[in-house]
Amino acid sequence: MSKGVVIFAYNSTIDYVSMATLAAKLVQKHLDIPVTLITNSTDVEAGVFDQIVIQDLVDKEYERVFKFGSGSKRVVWHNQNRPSVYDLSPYDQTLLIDADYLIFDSGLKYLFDTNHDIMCYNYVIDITGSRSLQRGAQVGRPGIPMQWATVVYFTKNKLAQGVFEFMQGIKENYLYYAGAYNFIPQLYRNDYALSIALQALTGYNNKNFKSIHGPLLTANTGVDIAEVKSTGEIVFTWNRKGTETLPAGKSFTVLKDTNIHIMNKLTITDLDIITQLTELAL
Amino acid sequence: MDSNKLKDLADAQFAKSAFLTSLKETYDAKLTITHRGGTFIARPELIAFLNSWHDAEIHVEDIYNTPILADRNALLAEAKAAYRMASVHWATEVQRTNSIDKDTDV
Repeated sequence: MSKGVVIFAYNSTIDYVSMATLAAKLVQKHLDIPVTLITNSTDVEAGVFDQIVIQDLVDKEYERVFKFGSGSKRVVWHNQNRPSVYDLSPYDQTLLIDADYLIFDSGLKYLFDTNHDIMCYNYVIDITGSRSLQRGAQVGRPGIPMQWATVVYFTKNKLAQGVFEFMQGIKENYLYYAGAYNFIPQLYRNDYALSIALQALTGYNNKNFKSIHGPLLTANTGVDIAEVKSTGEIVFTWNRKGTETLPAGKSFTVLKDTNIHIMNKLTITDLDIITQLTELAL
Repeated sequence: MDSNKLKDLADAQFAKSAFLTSLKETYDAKLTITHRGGTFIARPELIAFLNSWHDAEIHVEDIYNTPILADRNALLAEAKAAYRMASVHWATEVQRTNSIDKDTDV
């Protein structure tokens, strides 16, 4: 059975293709499997990707306001081709990752030795300790448990096919599902579509599908990468809100050999930072 | 790095509690192993359980509540290897945090 990673990257004011190139190099180093890029860009570094699938954007653009450490920025956001991954993936076993999900250890290799149809993370841990993204996240109110589309493992099977087809249907009828599940429809979210499709197609039961073990470790959009050391340590900083015991100020943490979803697109595409991160993939 | 950024870093405080929480969770994820299609977490309980039997094969419940007919020795060896690797990583990182106060300590 063939296995590989698929990454979507559509450039806007943010260079997603560069992010995907970095992510692909890290995959090759730590998981040692090929990577396919799905993009509308023809300007892609040679020799990185196993296959490049050119797929034009067909849906409307969304604008999203990202709150970065240095302020906020309104950016065009292309996230709507994701449900087509089932048809576009050239692999029997696929690990779909966001372009900003960076792999620094081989832990996810085990997914390819399981016999599960489709898996994703069901909870997030934010490295700042903020609880806004963490356990108990819901789609809508009262809602169903959130499943995170940042990392999705699937094989070619009826359930996975059904989930991605259902996600397509949700995307095309997003207003209807926003009403049915009682969430804000302004922004299409793959997390929502995946959560609804998975839950519905496994018998409207929150425990009939398998989650990837452990947390989706995340650095939220307010977190900057201060520096990447040649020893592999990545130093993250953010503005801390004041509490009764600790005044407002700057905090930092450091990670090494740990996969992480970096939501701050400005920090990850900063030329110095992406160069330093790329050196870790060598 | 510009001087403002350097000053910010120098003034930054290490978020030790958040660091230890995420470290513990990722340590746990690193204990994940697969065997005959099942998924197991190489915790001491699993290692002790496998060690307490002598049968070549034994049914063991995986983390998704599926009984897997395991090759006991093979699963034990895999669990011990994963436990050793993950626990060394965890211990090293915890020890390192004790010496971190400022960014310059990293």
